[in-house]
Amino acid sequence: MFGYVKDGHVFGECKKSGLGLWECPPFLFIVMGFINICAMLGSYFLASRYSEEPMVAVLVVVSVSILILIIGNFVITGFNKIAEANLLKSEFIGIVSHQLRSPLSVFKWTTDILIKEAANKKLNPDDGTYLNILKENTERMIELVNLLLEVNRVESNRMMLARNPISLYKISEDMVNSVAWYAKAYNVEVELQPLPSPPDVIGDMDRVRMVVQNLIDNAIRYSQGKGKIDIYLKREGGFLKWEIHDNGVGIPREQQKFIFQKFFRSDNAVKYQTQGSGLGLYIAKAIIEELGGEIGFKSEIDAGSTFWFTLPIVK
Amino acid sequence: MAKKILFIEDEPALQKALANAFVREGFEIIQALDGETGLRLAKQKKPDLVLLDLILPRMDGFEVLRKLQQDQETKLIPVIVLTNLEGMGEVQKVIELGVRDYLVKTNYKLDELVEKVKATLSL
Repeated sequence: MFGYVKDGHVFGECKKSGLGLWECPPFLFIVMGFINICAMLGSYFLASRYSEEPMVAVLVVVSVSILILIIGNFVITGFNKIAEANLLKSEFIGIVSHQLRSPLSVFKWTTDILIKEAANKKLNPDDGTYLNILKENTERMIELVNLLLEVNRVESNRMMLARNPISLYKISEDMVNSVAWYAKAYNVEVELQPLPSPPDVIGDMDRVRMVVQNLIDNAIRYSQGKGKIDIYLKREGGFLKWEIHDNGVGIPREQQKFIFQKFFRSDNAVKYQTQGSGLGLYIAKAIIEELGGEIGFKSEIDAGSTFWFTLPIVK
Repeated sequence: MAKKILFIEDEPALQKALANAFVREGFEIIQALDGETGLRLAKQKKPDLVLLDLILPRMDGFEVLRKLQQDQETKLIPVIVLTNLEGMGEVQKVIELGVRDYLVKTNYKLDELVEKVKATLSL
């Protein structure tokens, strides 16, 4: 659509649509061909062993081959439809998101101007509040569109990550400072535990910041309005491990396996927080794994959760 | 003397918002609502910097960039792409065409844009 296809390679096309090798119609076609040849040889061997009539052997081979071709055709057509739907969905999200961004930039910039002008005038205090509500909600919409675009990139393997030395400690420190007011509103204290001479890690500054923000944000939002959140950084072999402990609502055990799935929100997440796209952790996992790290968590309902990820330390 | 900025942007509301922010900071602004007019104004008025959208009527931003690069008179004008597209195809293409910066509109406040422009012009 936007010139992402650089080559006409069929497997490249499948990768682009976010399909694995075993879901890729051209690959399945080759596999079916192979199965068909094996089945023909096998049935010929069996037929000639049990029957002396060559016509019977030929008939058996032809019938087996036709049967496999018919079944194979149904299977491949089905997969083809899935592949097409996947690609269409990706394109749809891409187009809609870009189209949404245009009016959103108008909202963002015009509220910017209004807020600035309001600061110089004596406004009715309510008007200032309304402007800020407008601004915050515009930011929320922008954030959601950005998440959708990011998901789209993850799914179609178009995520392009920088690999620079970055200070994960500094990112965490800045983030903790920037969420201070927000944490206070939730009656939660967020503390970054010190790490002497923290090493730099290899990563993409903006994306890693997005992951850190998402994990801190989740810890605050699902904190049940009280408690303490601790962030630890520690060296583990060639990796730096980032860990966040909260004493929030926790994730029900039976739903834990779905937590990194796209759009998934656990029952108690929905109960405590109506806002949330269910995209943050999905994207976080994709980013961390693409950068060569790992991500995981431990959680107990009503006791809290510990989310962690690792990134390679700069050598 | 006030620095001249050319905005090539087809959304009138965004043109107005950009103009408001830049005039406030003492810039002189020139506005174009399509690629063709933008290119013509770049040649005529010799702006100090161009803020360019990519999806434009009559001539798209990529073509405008290419033409600006080909012309000796406009080749050295710094261009900042200001768009809502951010696929790697677009980024790569415009970087090859020598832009100074690639900014996604929704991710920047007006003040931050003004700062970017000032930094590019070393003001």
